[in-house]
Amino acid sequence: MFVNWALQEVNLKIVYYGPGLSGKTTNLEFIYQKIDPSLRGDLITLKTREERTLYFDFLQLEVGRIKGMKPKFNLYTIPGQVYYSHSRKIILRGVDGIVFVADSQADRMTENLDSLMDLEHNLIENGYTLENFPWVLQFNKRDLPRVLPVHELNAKLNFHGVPIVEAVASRGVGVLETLKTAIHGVVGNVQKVI
Amino acid sequence: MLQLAEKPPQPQQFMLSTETFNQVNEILRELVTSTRSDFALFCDANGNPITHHGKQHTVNLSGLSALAAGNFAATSEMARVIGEKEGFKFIFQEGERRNLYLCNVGFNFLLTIIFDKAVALGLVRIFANKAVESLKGVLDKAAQAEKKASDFIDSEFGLLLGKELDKSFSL
Repeated sequence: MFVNWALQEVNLKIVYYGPGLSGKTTNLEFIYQKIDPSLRGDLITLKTREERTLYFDFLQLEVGRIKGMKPKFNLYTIPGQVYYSHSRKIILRGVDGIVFVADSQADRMTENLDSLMDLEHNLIENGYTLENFPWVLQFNKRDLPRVLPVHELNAKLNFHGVPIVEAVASRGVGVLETLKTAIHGVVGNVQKVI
Repeated sequence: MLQLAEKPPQPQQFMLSTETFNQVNEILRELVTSTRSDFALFCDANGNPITHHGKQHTVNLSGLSALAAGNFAATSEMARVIGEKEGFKFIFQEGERRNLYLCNVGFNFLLTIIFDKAVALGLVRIFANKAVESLKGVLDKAAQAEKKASDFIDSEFGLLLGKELDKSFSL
């Protein structure tokens, strides 16, 4: 969190984490399309030639003043592919909240778990654990065949009982609900940690 | 100089007082005037823009700050990979019409200067170094912010924020 008293701004950083091709960038693209253009910046994407996220995607949102302060949300995605481990560590610096975008398909469970362990490992380096940090689980791609039932995904991924949201990010289903849940988690955590 | 990747995590909450903000602005003003640069941008190492001075026109400063922080962190890692323990002193990018100079201010802040091709890099370096020292002095001495985040981020803030978010998304 960065508070600029002169400009009365509160900057909060939310990172979309998860395995490659789970739909992190798709979440940001939908938010970009849906939000009033006067309340958002450009969507910045650093992609490879194959349209995979190379470094990060970035989108800034702001809402109207609240109690005199202007909240700004800096949304980042991480590159999900295993070999971009260092980029993920860098992007997690200064993070205030996390959305973990899990792929609901049965054959993607190993990738989900690997990514979740990678997240925990990187959070520990920042002095946090998944247990004491505000994060949200999004079960994405609910429209595809061979997806695991929610209770099974929950049993396998949600060790800490964090909020879950079912989503079809490609159609925008659950995307804004996920973001709002994450933001509420961040706001709730601010009071706990100070 | 560029040791961000080697250092422990930055503080998770940073408050910048109005007094410090004004002092930073004055240093940027001096820097831009002395170098005849287009503009100078001061942001934190997490990519949050803080303030700028000069003719930035339509440049997206939040995007530029995020990219500066990402670029800076990646370059620090490149330094480490090739065994340059102290890191690189600055990053310079030369364009057709405008150049970009990027350096760190301590471990938590970055200074980006955009200047015309006609301005000598050496001049920018000299004044950038001077500005970095001044900024470090100001930030080191920065008094604790007069308020805490918990003074305004409470349950009412959370409730109002939820309403604002509903308004912002054209569902």
